[in-house]
Amino acid sequence: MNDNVQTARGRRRVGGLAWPLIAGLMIGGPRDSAAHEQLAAFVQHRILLTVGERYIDLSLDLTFFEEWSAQERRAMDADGDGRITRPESESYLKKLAPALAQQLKLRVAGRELDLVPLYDPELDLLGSSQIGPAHHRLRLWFFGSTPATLRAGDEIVVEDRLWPQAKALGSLQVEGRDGYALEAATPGDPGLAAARPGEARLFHARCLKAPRTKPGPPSLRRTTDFFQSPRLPHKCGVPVDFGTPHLCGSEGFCRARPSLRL
Amino acid sequence: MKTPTQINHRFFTSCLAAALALGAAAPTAWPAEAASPLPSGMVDFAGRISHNHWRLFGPEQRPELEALNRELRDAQQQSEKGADEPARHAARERLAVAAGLLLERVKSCPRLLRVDLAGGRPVLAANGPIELPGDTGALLFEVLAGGEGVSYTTSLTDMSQPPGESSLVTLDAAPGGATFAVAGLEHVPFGRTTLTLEFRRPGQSSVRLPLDVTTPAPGRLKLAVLSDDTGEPAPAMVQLLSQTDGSARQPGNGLEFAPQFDKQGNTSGARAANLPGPLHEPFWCVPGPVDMALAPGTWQIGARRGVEHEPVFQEVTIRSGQTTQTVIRPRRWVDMRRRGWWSGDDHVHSRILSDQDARRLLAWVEAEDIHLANIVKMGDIYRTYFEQRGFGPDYRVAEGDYVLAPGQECPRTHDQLGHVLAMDITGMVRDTEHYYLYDQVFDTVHAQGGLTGYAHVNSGMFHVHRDMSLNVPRAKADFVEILQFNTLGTDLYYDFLNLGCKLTASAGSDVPWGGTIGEVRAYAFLGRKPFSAEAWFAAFRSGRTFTTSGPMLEFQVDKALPGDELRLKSDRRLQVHARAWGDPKRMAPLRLEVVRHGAVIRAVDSTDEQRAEARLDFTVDAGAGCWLAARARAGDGTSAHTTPVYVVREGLRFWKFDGLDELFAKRLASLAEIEQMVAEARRLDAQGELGTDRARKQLAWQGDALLERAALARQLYEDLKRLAETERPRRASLAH
Repeated sequence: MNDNVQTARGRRRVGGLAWPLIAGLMIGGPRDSAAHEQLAAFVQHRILLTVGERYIDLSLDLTFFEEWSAQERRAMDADGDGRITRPESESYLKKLAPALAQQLKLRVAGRELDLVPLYDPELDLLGSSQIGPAHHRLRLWFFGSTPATLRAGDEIVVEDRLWPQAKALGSLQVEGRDGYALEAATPGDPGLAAARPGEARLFHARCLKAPRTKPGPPSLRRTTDFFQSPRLPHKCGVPVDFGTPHLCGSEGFCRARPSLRL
Repeated sequence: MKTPTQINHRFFTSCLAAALALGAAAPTAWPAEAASPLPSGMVDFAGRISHNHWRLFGPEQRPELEALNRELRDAQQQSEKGADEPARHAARERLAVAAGLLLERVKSCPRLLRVDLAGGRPVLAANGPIELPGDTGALLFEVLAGGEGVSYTTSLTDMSQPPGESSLVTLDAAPGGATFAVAGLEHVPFGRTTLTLEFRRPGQSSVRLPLDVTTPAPGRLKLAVLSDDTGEPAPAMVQLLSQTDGSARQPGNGLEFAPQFDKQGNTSGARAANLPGPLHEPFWCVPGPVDMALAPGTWQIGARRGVEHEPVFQEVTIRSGQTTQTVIRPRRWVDMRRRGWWSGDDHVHSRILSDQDARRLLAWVEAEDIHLANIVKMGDIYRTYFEQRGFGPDYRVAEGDYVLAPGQECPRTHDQLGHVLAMDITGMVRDTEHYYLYDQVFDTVHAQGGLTGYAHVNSGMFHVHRDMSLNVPRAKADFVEILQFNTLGTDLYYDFLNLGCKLTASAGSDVPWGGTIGEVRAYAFLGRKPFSAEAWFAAFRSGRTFTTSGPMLEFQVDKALPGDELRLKSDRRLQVHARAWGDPKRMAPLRLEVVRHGAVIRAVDSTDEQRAEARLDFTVDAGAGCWLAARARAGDGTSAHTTPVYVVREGLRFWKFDGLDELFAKRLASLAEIEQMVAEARRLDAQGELGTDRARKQLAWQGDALLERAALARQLYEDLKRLAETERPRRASLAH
C-alpha cells in the first residue's frame, strides 16, 4: 500500500516565518550553469492568479529542472549523506519561506498590493529523495485584499524575482470570480531571461470585467450557510435549489457532489 | 483555488466575548496598543489546520477555518506593516479577535486530546484507540505543562519512512502553559498501531507516551476506463485523490517510465500536464483496468484520454472489506479523425530497446490519444540518450491507429545554434566532426525521406534563431515547434514567415521535461486517407497542420487548407473561413483571430458561455500576396495556431514587404552572433583555455565551415534585398 502513495511521500511542509533570510540560497546558481543553458538549467514558473470579491489569490508552482533541483537538493541535504529526510526538507523550507515572500510583488493598477502567505510552502520531491539531478516541485500560496477600486481595464502585474539567476519557463493562468473576468497577456518570450539585480520577471493580466457593486462592509448574515443561501446562478449544473457552492465557477473547481451535478 | 470565504463582522463580534472569556489567549493577554505578542506558532497552526487538517473539525467548519487563517495572517501583517498607527492598532484588534476565535475553535474540537505534563506523572487522556479515517489523518493535542500562556505547534510524520522499526511521533511543546499541537500522520499501517508520542520541551527532558490509533480495513477499487469509441477498457490517464487527506495515490497498475528516461527530466510516472486547472495535478498512465486496495473513504477519481475527450472527475466511496466497481467513459467532445485530422507529438523522449519498453509507451500514447508519436533519440556533441532499436518503418511500433516512430533530436547545442528535430528517418544522423553544420543533417535527413525542424522555437531557447537564420531561407527546415508547455510563441515563426519562408507549425511535449505526451499536439490533415504513419508524415510534409493544447481549428482560404499555396495571377477577393471550438465544459469563452503577416485582421469572441465556439467568414484582398493563418485562445489558457495558407501573386514573394528592413536586420544580427561565437571559440582555443570543452573546441575547429555558411546566408539576404528592389515597382503599381 505504501508504495502506492505518491504525493504524500514527497510532500513537505514548513512552519515558522520568522527565520532569517537566506538570500544566498536563491541567488547562487548551479555550479555549471554558467557554461550552458540546457533545458535542465531552467525553473518552470506556473502562476495562478485568482481575483474574487474579497481576495486576490496568487499561487505559484515552481518545477525545478535537473541542475537547479540538484543545487536545491544539495542545500536540503544538511547532513551530506546524499539522502533528503523530512526534517532536512522541513528545515530547508523554514529557512526559505521568509525570503520567498519578499521575492514576489503584485501590482494592481500600478499600486502594490500587500501579499500575505496563505499557507506554508510545500515541497514535492517527485519520487526521489536522493541528491543529484532530478526534478522537484515547490508550491507557494499568497493572498491580498481585492482593492475596492479595481475596475475593468486595470492591469495586474506579478513581479517574480524567485531564483533570479535561473532562466525561467513562465506561464500565467487567471481566473475571475464573483463577477470578475480576467485575461492573461501572452508573454512574448515564455523562456524568460534570468532576472537581473533589481529586476523582475513580469507576468501581466488585465481585468476585463468587474462587478458593479463592490463588497461593502461585511454582511451581517453568515455567508457560509451554504444550503440556506438564496438561489444564485450556477455554472456546473447543480440544481439551484441546493444553493450555490462558494467555489462554483467552473466544473473543475466546484465542490458540489458529482451526484448533484447535471 | 481556495475558498474566498468571508468572516462577517457580527460573527467576529459575537465571538469576541467568547474569546475574551477564554483567558489565556484573550486580547488582554497582548494589549492592542502593545506590539502583539502572538502565541508562538499560531499562524502556522492556522494554516495547517485550514489547508491540511480541516477534517479534524468537520467539513462544515472548513470555511471558517479558512477565513480564520486569512484573517490571522492578514491582520498579523497589517499589525506590523500598517501605514500608520491607527491602521496598526485596528489590525491588532482584528488579530486579537481572530486569535481568540481560533482558540475557541480548537478548544471546542471534539477530537482534542488532553496531555497533562504538569503533574508528577504525565497523563494522556484518551479513551481507547483513536480511529483515523484512513491511512492518513491527524491528531490534535492540548499539552498542559503548567503555568500561563498559549502556544501552537505542528508536526508531520510519514510512517512509511520510520527510523528503523519505530512508530515515533515527535511534538515540540512550550516549557509552560498550554501548547496546542496538530500532528499529521501519513501512511499509517492498516489496523492497530501503537504510536510513541514524544513531547519535547526546551530545557526539559522529553516525555514519551503511547497512544493507540486504528485505521479501518481497506476496501477494494475496481476501476475501468472505457474508450468512447469502442466501449471497451482502454489505457487512460488516471488520478486517485483521497478526499480524506487530499493526497494522491498511484493506481495499482500505474506505469513507471524511469528506466526509459535515462534519468533525464522528470522521471516520475506521476505526470502533471502543462494544462490548466485540475489537469495540472498528477495523473498516472494505466494500461488497463485498475484493481487495488484503498483506504476507506471518499475518493475522487480523475480520468483523461487526451484533449478530444472531456476529463471526468468522479467521487467514489470505498468501504472496508467491500469492493467498489466503477466504470468511467470519458466522452469525446470532438472526433478529429472523422474530420480527417490526426494527432501527433513531434517531441517525445523515451528509450525503446524492447517490446516491454514499447508496450509501456504505447499505453501512454493511447491514454493521451496521440496517434503518431515521434520518439526521439537525443544527442549532443558528447553522447546520445534515449536509445532506440533502430529507425525507419521496420522499427515503428503500432497498435491500431497508434504509432511510435523513432526519430531524433540532434544536433543540440545550447549556447550556440539550438536544437534540431527529425522525423520519419531511417537512421540517426549525427557527425560530431561536423556537429555545427546543421545543414548537413537536414540534407541527410531529407535524403532519407525524412522531415527536419527546430525545437523550442516558441520560446526561442538555445539561440535557435541563429541556425534558423542560416538555414530557413535555404529551405532546409520543414517545421518549427511553436507550441510547447502550453505556451504558444510565434515571434520567431512570424519573422521567418514574413521573410517569405514556408514553415509548418508543429508542437511537441518534450517529455520527460514536459508534463505528458500530447499536452500539446500537431494535427495533420489526412482527409479521407486511412491513417498510417506514412500518410501522417505525408500530410505533415505538405504543411497541412495546426497545433493545439486545447481548442480545435478549421481554416480555409478559398479552398486552400493550411500549408497550401494559392497562386494568383491577379488581385481578387479571397474567401476566408475560420472556426475555433473547444470542450464546452472548460474552454469557453474563446477568442478566434485571423492574422495576415502576423497582424490580426479579424477577431471574434465566443458569446455563448455554454458553447466554446467562434467563427469568422469574410473576404480579404489578396493584394500583393501574403500569408494568412488562424489562431485561437481559450478561456482556460489553452491555445491553437494553424500553419498559414500562402497567398502568392505571380512573380512576387509572399513576404511582408513593408517590414523587410527590420527583418533583414534581425537576421544579419543573428549571423553576426555566429561569427562572434566562432571568433571567441577560436581565440580561447588558440590560448589553450578550452581544456576539455569539446563543444567549443569543435566549434573552433569547424569554424571555417560554419563561417562559410554564414557568408552564404549573408549573400542570400543580399539577394533577397535585391529581389525586394526589383519587386518594388510592380508592388507600387499594384497598390494603385
